Amino acid sequence: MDSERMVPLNRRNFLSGAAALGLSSVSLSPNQAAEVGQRPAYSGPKVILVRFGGGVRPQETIASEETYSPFLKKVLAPRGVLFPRMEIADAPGVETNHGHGTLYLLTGRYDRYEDVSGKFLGARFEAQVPTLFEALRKHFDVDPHQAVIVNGEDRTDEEFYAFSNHHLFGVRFRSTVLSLYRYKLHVLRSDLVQGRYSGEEERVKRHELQKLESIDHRAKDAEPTTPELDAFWDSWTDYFGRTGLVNPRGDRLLAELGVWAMRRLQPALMMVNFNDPDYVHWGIASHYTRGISIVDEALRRLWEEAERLPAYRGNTVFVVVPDCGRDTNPFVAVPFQHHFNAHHIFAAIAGPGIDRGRIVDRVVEQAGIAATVAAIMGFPMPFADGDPLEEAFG
Amino acid sequence: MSTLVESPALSVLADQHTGPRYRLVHPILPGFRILLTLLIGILLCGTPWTAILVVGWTFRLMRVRILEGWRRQPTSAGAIPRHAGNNPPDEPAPPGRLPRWLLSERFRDTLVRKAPDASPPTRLRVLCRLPGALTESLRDNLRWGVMASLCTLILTYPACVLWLGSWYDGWNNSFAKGYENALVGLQAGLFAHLLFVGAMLYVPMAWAHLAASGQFRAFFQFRLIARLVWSKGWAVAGFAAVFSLATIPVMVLRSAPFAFVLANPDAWARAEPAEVLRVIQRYQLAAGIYLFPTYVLLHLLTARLYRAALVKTLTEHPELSGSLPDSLRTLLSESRPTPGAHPRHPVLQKVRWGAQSTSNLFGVLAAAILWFTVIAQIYVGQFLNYIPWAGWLNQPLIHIPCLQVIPKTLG
Repeated sequence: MDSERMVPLNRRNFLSGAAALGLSSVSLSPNQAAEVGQRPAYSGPKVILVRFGGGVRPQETIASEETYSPFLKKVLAPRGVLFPRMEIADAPGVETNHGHGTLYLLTGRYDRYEDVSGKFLGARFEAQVPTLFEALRKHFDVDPHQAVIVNGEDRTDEEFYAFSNHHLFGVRFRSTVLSLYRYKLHVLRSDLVQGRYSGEEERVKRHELQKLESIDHRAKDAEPTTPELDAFWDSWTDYFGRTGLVNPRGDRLLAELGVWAMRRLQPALMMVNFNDPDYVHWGIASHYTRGISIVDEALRRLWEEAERLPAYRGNTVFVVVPDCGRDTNPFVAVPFQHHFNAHHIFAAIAGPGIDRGRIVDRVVEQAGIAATVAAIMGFPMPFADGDPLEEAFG
Repeated sequence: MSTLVESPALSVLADQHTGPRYRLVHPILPGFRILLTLLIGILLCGTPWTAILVVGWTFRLMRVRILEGWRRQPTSAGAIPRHAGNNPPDEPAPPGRLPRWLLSERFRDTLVRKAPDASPPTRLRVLCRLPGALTESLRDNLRWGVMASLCTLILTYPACVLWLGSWYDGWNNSFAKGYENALVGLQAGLFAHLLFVGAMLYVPMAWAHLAASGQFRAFFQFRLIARLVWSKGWAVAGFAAVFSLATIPVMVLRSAPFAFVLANPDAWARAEPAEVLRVIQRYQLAAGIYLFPTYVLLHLLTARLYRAALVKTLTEHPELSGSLPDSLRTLLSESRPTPGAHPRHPVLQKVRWGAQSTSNLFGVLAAAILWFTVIAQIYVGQFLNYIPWAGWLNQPLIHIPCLQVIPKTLG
């Protein structure tokens, strides 16, 4: 990206800033309402955190000339810093999974998570420490619609990683989620408000809405939507209709939602949870490589949109990192079918204030991503264990 | 191996039945033969091509066991059936002995068989007969293996191919989020399940009928075989239960490679392909330790089932003997099994018929449900370790008893 509006963030500034933030990190006022009122407006770089999921290996992305993600390897990474030896800690309780990886990215900690609904293979986890979005919004006066998670339809549990259970943070500082689930909610709510249904049909639709809303039970006390979000979905519905069959699908939908969010909501921090490569669990190898290409193409779209939009041009840092790796099992026909023990991943960071053309040949931790994003944006991430990736800052 | 044991020198030794050498070898010879037969069977399960010989050998063994069973069957006259008393000319092995893998079952007789004019064979004639006698069982095993596999394939492949297609299309559609066609893969898969269950209610009994008759077309005598299945409803369910239990280790064996690297993934990621190939080849070979005996025992179980079912059905419906292949009809012509003591009163007969039919119906339904559990195992195995073609098209205890877990990329 152009760096004409580059934020002056070199290694020395970064280290001193990070230390200051660290010192102030847990000095939270007992009167949160007053503190919230005194928050400064955010004016730093925008950050787009791309979860290059669900679960990819370096082999097919950044470690081979025969890459399935040419944009990442040949365009984005050379313009920033590549960490080809990123790891998810190999420790008891640390899982190489999508939900876990997403929360490691968001909280900077390798906490142990269990599905709160007790569902088999469920990933309805609840972070005990604040997520990046909560930390950002608590420190800066950032509207909910400017802290955005774009989520897919295959892993709806990840819709609800928008805030933690931490008593000093939580739902008041949550992020806004854009997804097909939210789209359905919006369509149902607006239809019922506008009296589109009557009689038995209305009863059925109200029940359907109630059912959908009950999934997000933790947010029951929060405002379900905001005027900006309503406007977003109204324009989306105007364009793509109400059926959900016209908009792009799969990870292409996430790219579309991301681009729309950049145009209409202009989030300061946006995380896009791509997931298509994970279809290889069902054994068809091409779904993995094809999924990588789709995510790569989506990444290119987001990058080009950031170069095009004035609010983002020269002011956007891309952080690209998988939620988890994939197995490398030479004994089976599809070596990367699962991710039982898939600790090897990578990260690429590019944008203003980030070093260019650098490959960091040391092992770094996925848990360091949260602290790095916090450092880029200038807010404390008090409970993150991972160290910021200081090489990113030159 | 029986073929090695039956080398001319040892045959002579066995024929003598006397002398200190014979007395030394005699007690251990049968056990040695069985062990060697097992070892060869296990080794042949190491590749799909050689496993066809195992299929053929197993069907020949089934034939031996079915004929022996009938031979021991008490008849109404208390007599042994005429043809069962003698060995039919195409009987695969002498009674009480396992079929051979390689040599002719009557190796020495074949070589020294007299000419039509009753003159002893010349040396040149013996030499000319030698290649045939050396490979007769091998050719028989191959012929039977191809025939049995082809028959099984014809009835089970509609389901297997549909599994392959429905899985691919279903997940491809899901990947592309083709909501409008979401049911295509699912419905095709469910249809394949029904086809498979229908086929597997029939195929085991048809295997035994094929083995007994030795005729390709006998496998497709749908009316007769369906009648046999129906007559043994709960036994058929019992067989399906045993088969399903026997499939669990197959699922585990096929899936296990997914876990080979979990303990130390990095070490194997850097391993040379030749080393990986060596390990997985040995694993596939070792899997034969389970596959070979299980495959054989399951087929012998179905042979036993068939033997009883045919006698029972012919007792109740003697008119069905007309639909038997000639070889079987001749064999059973003097068997005249003892009719059971059935109630003569018409009402009691109807009550008996009703009770029997209801029991058979529930037996077959139970069998159908149990075959669904086999399908579930196939799907779980494929999820854990996807084997692109063979995972759907070769079920080791049904088709070819080979695990087929070696990735194509390794060669």
